[in-house]
Order: sequence, then C-alpha cells, then structure tokens
Amino acid sequence: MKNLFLSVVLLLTVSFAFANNEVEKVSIFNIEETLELTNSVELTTFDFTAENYSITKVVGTCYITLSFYGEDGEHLATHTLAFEGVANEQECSDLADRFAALL
Amino acid sequence: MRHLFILYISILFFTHLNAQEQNDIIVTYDIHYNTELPNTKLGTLLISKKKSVFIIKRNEKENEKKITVKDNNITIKSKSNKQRFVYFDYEKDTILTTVNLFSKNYLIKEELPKINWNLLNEKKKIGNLNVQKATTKFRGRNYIAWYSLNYPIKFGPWKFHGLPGLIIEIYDESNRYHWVLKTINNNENSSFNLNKKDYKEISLKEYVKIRYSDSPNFLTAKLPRGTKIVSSKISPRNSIEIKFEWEEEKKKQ
Repeated sequence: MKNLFLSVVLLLTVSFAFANNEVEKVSIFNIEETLELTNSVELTTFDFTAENYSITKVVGTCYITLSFYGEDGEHLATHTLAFEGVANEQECSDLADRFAALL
Repeated sequence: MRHLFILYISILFFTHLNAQEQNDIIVTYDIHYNTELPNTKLGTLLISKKKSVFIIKRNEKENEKKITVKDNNITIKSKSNKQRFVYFDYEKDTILTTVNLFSKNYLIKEELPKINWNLLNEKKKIGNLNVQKATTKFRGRNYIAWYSLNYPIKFGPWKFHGLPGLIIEIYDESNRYHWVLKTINNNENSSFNLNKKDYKEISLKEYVKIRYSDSPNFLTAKLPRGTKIVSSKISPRNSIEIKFEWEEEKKKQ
C-alpha cells in the first residue's frame, strides 16, 4: 500500500513537472513568432513607403517660364514649358540653365 | 593782285565751311524707354544733304546680359551685336530700320511715311533754345514735339521728320517713349557705312507678321524631345508702332 501511494505521488509529480515545462515551451515559441511577424510587417511597411517616395520623384514635372522682351524693353511673349521625368528641384534648376544656354 | 588772291581763298574757305555746317551735323539724344524693362539709350543723328541716319546705342551702364535665369524663370532680351539704326534716303523715298527679333537681325524697308504735324503757337525754352510745340499721331501713338527754328532742319530722332525745325524734345502722350536733345555739333568726319549683309531685308508688313506672330516657331525648334509648351501669352501691341497705315485704311472702309 505504501509502495502504491509512493508510486502515485511520483507519477503525479513527474506529470506536473512535464506539464509545466510544456506550457513554458509553447509560450516561448509564441513570443518569437510574434516578434518575427512584427518585424516582417514593419519591414514591408518601410519598403512600401520608400518605393512610393521614389516614384513621386521620378515622374516629377519641371516647369520653366520663358519671357521675351524686345530691344526697347517691351514685353513680347511668355511661354511656359513642361519637362517630364525630373527628379528634384535642383535638376529642374540645372535644366533651366542648360536650356537658357541653347537660346 | 595779291589782295585779290587772298580774297578768293577766303571766299572759298568760308563757302566750304558754310557747306559743312549745313550738311554735316551730329545731334545726340537721350532716349528713355519707359517700357516693361525700363532703360535709357543714346541716339546719334547724322545729317547730310539728302540722307540722315539715326543710330541707337546701348547705355554703357545698362546690364549687358541678354539672358538671365532666376528660379526657373528665363528672361530673354533682344540684343544685337550689329548696329541699330534708322536710315533715311530722301532720294529713294525710303527708310531702312533695323530690328532684332527672337535672335534674328532684320532690315525693314518701307516707303517714307507721311507725318501730318499740327504746328501750334505754344512756345517755351529748353536750355538756351526757344522751341515751339507741334503734335501728331503716328502709327497709333499721339506725340508732342518741341522744335527749334534756330536749326531749320527737317530731320529728327527715330522716324520723325518733316517739321520746319530740328526736334529738340519729343514724347508720346503716355511718356512710354521719350527723346531729349543732348548735344548739337558740326562734324567734318561724320560717316556711316550701310552694311545690308548683316540683316535680312523684309517689308513692313512682313515685320508686323513676325513681331506679332502667335506661333513661337523659333522656340519649338529648340525644344528637347518630349518637352511641351503648356501655355503661351503673346503681348498685345505695345511697341513703339501699334497701328499701321493699311490697318487704318481697312478701318475706314
């Protein structure tokens, strides 16, 4: 009887011990997975934003205004030109300088 | 005999001097252009017996830059390295006027225009000169002129001519264009070489067509591929001449 009682106690202790370990393992696994998932979402969001920003710059339009004056300083005409595919303001400004040199 | 010889030489000398005074006179004017880009220029009127030329030179202080770029705005001023003038030929009854338009040099040939002056009794003094008033309407602008009978010369600055005395001051009623006499000199060496090769000769009608053309052809040729003209604003007639004889005649009909 005494032996039976000891066996039952041992079985119960081992069972509880294994049961505790399993819960902990599941918990650790879940945290890592959540972290990975979070990182993945953040990365994707960042890439998407960067891509959008880049697209906006690449398809930019640069407007250059040309004003013509006669020999006596009288205004003759004003024309506005549109240059497509200009990356930034500096490029637009350089374009204006280069175009002025052609005139 | 000796006295007779001296008298003969003296007569020859004074006749020659007198002839030069009548035929070779240089008059300079300050020209004030109160236009969209206000500026002042120097005009030189060379007068000989049946010809005269009015040469327009840039003021040395004036900004010589033809093109300026600021904040993607390009300003282009018409400036020519060729001589700018209005040449009167009374024998051929013609005027030749140079003009630089959209980087091209033109020589406009036209018949001597008739200017109908109203001679008024109003008098005043400009410097030491007694001057009289006259008015006229020429090519769409109303002008007020002050001329001096001390100089019985029918020529004047730009295309003005036909008054009984030299024009001392002239301006249009809006004061957009204003000429004022600066100096008068007799000069033995006043010469002018008319070089037509530097200019493309056109008629006055052709000039009006180019000047007030709606299509900026000169610009289209210079545009890089893919560039578009998104807007164009051509100024209404705002130059020194805004209405021409054939347009006045059309209106009358």
